[in-house]
Formats: sequence, structure tokens, C-alpha cells
Amino acid sequence: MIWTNFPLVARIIISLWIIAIIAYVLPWKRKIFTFLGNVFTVIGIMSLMIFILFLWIDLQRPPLRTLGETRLWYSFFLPLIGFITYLRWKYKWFLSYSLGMAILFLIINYYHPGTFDKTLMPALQSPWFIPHVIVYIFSYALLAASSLVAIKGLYQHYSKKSGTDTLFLADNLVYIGFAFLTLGLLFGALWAKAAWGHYWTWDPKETWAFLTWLGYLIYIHLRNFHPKKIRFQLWILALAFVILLICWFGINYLPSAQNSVHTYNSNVE
Amino acid sequence: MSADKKENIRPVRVLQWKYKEGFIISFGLLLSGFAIEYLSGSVKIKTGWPVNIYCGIIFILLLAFINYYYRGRQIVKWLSGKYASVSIISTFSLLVLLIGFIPQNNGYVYTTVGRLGLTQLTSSWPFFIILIYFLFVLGLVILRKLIPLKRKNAGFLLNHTGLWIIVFSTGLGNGDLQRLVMETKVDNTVWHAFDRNNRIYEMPLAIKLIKFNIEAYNPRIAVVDKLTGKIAGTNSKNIATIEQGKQIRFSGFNVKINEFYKDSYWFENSYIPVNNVGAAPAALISVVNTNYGDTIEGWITSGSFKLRAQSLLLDEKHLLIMLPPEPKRFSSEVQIYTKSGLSKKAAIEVNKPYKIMGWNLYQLSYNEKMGKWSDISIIELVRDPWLPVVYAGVFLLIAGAAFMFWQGKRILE
Repeated sequence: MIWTNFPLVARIIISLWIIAIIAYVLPWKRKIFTFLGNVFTVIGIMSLMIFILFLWIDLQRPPLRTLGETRLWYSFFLPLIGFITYLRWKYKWFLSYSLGMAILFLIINYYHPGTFDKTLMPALQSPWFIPHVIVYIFSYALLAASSLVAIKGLYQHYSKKSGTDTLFLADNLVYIGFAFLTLGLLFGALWAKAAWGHYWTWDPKETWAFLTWLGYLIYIHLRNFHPKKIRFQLWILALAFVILLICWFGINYLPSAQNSVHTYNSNVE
Repeated sequence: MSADKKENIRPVRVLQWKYKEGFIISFGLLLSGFAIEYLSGSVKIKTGWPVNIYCGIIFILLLAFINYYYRGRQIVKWLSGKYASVSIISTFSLLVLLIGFIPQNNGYVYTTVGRLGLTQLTSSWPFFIILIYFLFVLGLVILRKLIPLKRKNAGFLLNHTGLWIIVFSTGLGNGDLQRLVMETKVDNTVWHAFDRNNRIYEMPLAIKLIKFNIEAYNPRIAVVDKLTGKIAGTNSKNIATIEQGKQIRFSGFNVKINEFYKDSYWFENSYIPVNNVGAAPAALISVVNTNYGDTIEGWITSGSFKLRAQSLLLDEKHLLIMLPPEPKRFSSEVQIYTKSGLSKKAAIEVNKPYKIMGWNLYQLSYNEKMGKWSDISIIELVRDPWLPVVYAGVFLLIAGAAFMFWQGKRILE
């Protein structure tokens, strides 16, 4: 019964990651703090990986069935991708953010063991489920951050301050976020082929995910072609996020989405 | 393109075309698409093998020809430049936005909206024309960067070529894509299938259903409000999964599952485990009312198409009910025969299609009224010979995304 060990494991990992976050956000710029942060992050990720492996062996099936189990995977992949992104791009805040999200998922699992026995419908039982959802979570997190930056940029622009540096940050976020968005879309297509017989059926969620993708595609091109037209691009960036939100939440209210396979409003009674 | 005529005198002046001209062209194409749609109906040409491959080769040769001989022309430069690119992406996005807002269906609607193709945009003329122009522009963009090949263009080429291949092969492959539905019945060998328009097709393979099965999760029980039928209380604590011997604390009631049978039937005065058609899950439950301390015992079941659901009255306001079990696995055990005399046993499951002779067999549906006792299983048969080409594009695009992640936005000089 490996789940009975979970509270202990979770407490250890949460402590490790909290120390890591503190080490990253400490105002004194010392290399030793960053190094400690990295060590604690990696030990935490490794511990969770070992726990998942034991759970896998113990259950004699991949632990992908229940929501509690999928949250374990989130908690594993979020810091992992955050750490890789950090190694490449040195965004400490982003690593801290992903560690925070991972801690949140661990805490939910800690306090709601009852949710372990939630069922997972057959169409969702796919090896694509986890990668599809994880890359989307990441992409949305990055793009959300980019539109916050865009709003800051618009404020700077209208109060006549220079917003060029702000846009560079937004660009990097959009590029990484867009890469993940593309992966999410493609993983979704590969999954759809296995589950529904075709990789693209213009399901409303697919259409809106594609629109989101097109929105950021337009931003990237405009940004590339006309680096000086800052105000217009900031507005495009803010608008693209509105499309993303429609795709994420608003889809349930659209008349065109009545038969979508993605609206999970399963009403009990 | 009609604009080619302007180019036969060697131009000394620079072509001044910008976004205005870009949008005039792409909107012009869009509007003429809608006009053709309104006058002549939706695209009925569904070109299959080998016509589609010829069209594809001609299109690629045309692009290569233009790039080779007219690469230096102003109009070709313009077509493979920023203004044409952004205007066509925007116009295409606008079309997708329409798909996102207008409910799409396959039926022809006899209204202006329907005649314009707005309710089936993905098979309409405007969509078709815009896609061809999109592939034309994107193709020229790729060729301009492809020749001469430079290392720094790798990410660009992976992304753009991947996308081009996906759109191109999806479009061409549409004529060869077959999605048919076969209704199989226990012990019957079925050789035919239907398409969406109920046209019948004789198949190179036959399917005999041996057994359809639904494996279900244990059902959940819930305390519900007697009048509204909704789960009592505001939190989700009044619902839990059944397990033999389990004790559950609901607000105000302590519940113990004394007996639980996944498949059972009412016999004389209790439920007994059986494995007959129409059996339903049932549980013998004792409930302690924590406010008054009294205990009630009784059977509950979620019922089946043969058995009525039964709940337990807890007090004047609350009922304990069993929710219908949620499916964990749909599967069809089948025997597959081919014309060449092959006979094969197979299992078809949701998310695990079975591949045979270029066909993918999917578990699509069953007789929902009869649930796990359904004696029919509906199998979808899909044949998509262009899939490897589409996937080649997908993997280029995945590589491009990885490249993009790693490279990021190069800081502009």
C-alpha cells in the first residue's frame, strides 16, 4: 500500500520545494543560494519520480487512472519543465511559479484522498492525456504571463515610458508558450486519431484552440516584420489572450459547441 | 494570378503593394468563394486517388517553376513576403472565426446562411479557395528560404514546411479518406458498412461480434434532497464510491456497505448475485442517523433496463441513491474475416483501435438502453492512406516547436 506513504513523501517534497523557492527569491544575489535552490528542486523531482515508479509497480498498471494520480504527474512534470526552461532561459520567477503550482497539486492530494477514486472515462484513458494536458497548462501559464506583460507595456506606452524591454520579455514568453501551444495542439491531434478515428474534426474546442494558435501566429509575424509598431502589437497580444480564454472557459457557452467532446459538464443528476 | 500581366514590361519602379493590396486580394478571393458557393452549391468534387496526387504534383511543380524562373519578379517577391503572408493568415483566421461562432453541421440548410456555405464552411468554396491561396503563398515563402539552404533557417523551415505538408496532405487526402460505420450483431457476420449519407459499401473485410462488454467502475452513492433530486449540501462530501464493507461519513449520516454485488437481480426478498441479462449493481446498506441515533437498513440499486432503480428514504428530507455505474472500458470481442480467407480474433476498445489491411477499427457505440448487455456494437472503419504524409508534417512541426523553445526570440539588432 504505497499510498499510505504519500503524506510523508508529500511533506518532504513540499518542504524541499519551499526551501528552493525561498532560495530563488532571496534578494541577495549569491550563487550559493541559486545552487541550493537547484539542488533542492532536483531532489524533489527525483523523489517524486521514485514515488511514482513504486506506485506504478505496486498498482501493476500505469498510475494514470484517477484524478489524484494525474495530479501526481502534474506535480512531477511542472517542476521538470520549469527547471528545463530555467536552465535554458534563466527565468527564476517561472521556475518558482511552476514549483508553486506543483506544491498546490501535492497539497490537494494531501487533503483530498477521497478524490483518488474518481473515475476516468474511457476516452480519456490514453497515453496522450498527460502530455496533452501538461503542455497546455504550461503554454497557458506562459501566455497568461505574456499578456500581463502586454498590459504593463500598454500602461507604459500610454504614460509615455519606453516599453521596448517589456516587449522583449513578452516575446520570449510568447515564443516558448507558442512552442508548447503547438505541441499541445499536435498531441491532441495524435490522440484524437487513436480515440475518435480522425486527427482533426473541427470540434468546437479544436476550432478555438486553432484560433488561439492563429492569434499568436499573427502576433509573432507582425512582431517580426514591424518591430517598431509597439502599440498595435501590444493590443494584438492582449486580444489573443481573450481568444485563449474563450477556448478555455467560454467554449461551454457558445451555440456552436453543443456537441463538443471537450465540454466536460457531467451533471450528476 | 491576374496581377502577372502587369509584369511583362521590365519594371523600373518598385512595386508599392502593401497590406491594402494584400487584403484586397485575399478578401477578393474570399468573396468570390462565397459568390461561387451561393450560385453553385458546395464543393462536390471529392477527388480521390490518383487524381489528387496528380493535382498535388502539378501544384508543387508550379511553385517550383515560379520560384525558379520568376523568383526575382516584384510580384513573386511580394507574394512570398510579409504583406501577403500576414493578410492571408488574417483572412484565414477570420474564416476559422466564423467556424468557431456558427454551428457547423453536415446538412444543407435552405437559407441564405446555408446557401453561402456558412453552416458547412470546411467543405465550402471560400474555404477551398483561401486554402489554395494560403498554400501558394506559404509554398513560395518556404522555397525562398529553402534555396539556398542555410543553417540558421532550420527552425523556420521545420515550422513552415511542417505546416505546409499538414495542410497540403490533409486537403489532398480528404478525397481518399473513408470513415464508415458498421453495425455488428452477436453471431452475425456483417460485410457492409455505411457512410454519413447512409450510402452502403461492400467491405473487403467482415466482422462478427462475439461479445460486447462494458467494464464499469463501482457505482457511487449519494445523499440527495428528496424534492430537488440534487445532492444534499453544498460541498461534494455527500457522494462516495461503493466498496464492500466500506464505512462512509456523510453529513448527518454514517453509512456502511454490508453487501455489494456488481451484477445482481431481485429474488424473493433480497438481491442475489447473478450474471443474467439486465442484472444491475445492488448494495445492502445500513445507515445511522447521527442526529437521532436510529439505524435504517435496506437495499439500493441504480437499476437497469429490466430492473427499477431503488433508493433508501433516510428522513423526511433525504434519500440515499445509487448512481448508474460509470464505464471504465468499452470493448468488443470480434472475429474478423477477409475476402482472402483470413480469420482473426480481435479486441476493439476505445482508444485502442485495431489495425487490419489499411483499415483502423474503432469502438464507436452500442445499444445504450441495454448497456453492458447490448447485443450490438457499432464499429467505425477508417481508411486514411495519406496519414503517413500528414504525420511527417506533424513531426516536422513538433521538431520546429522544440527548436522554437530552444532558440526563442532572437534579440533584434
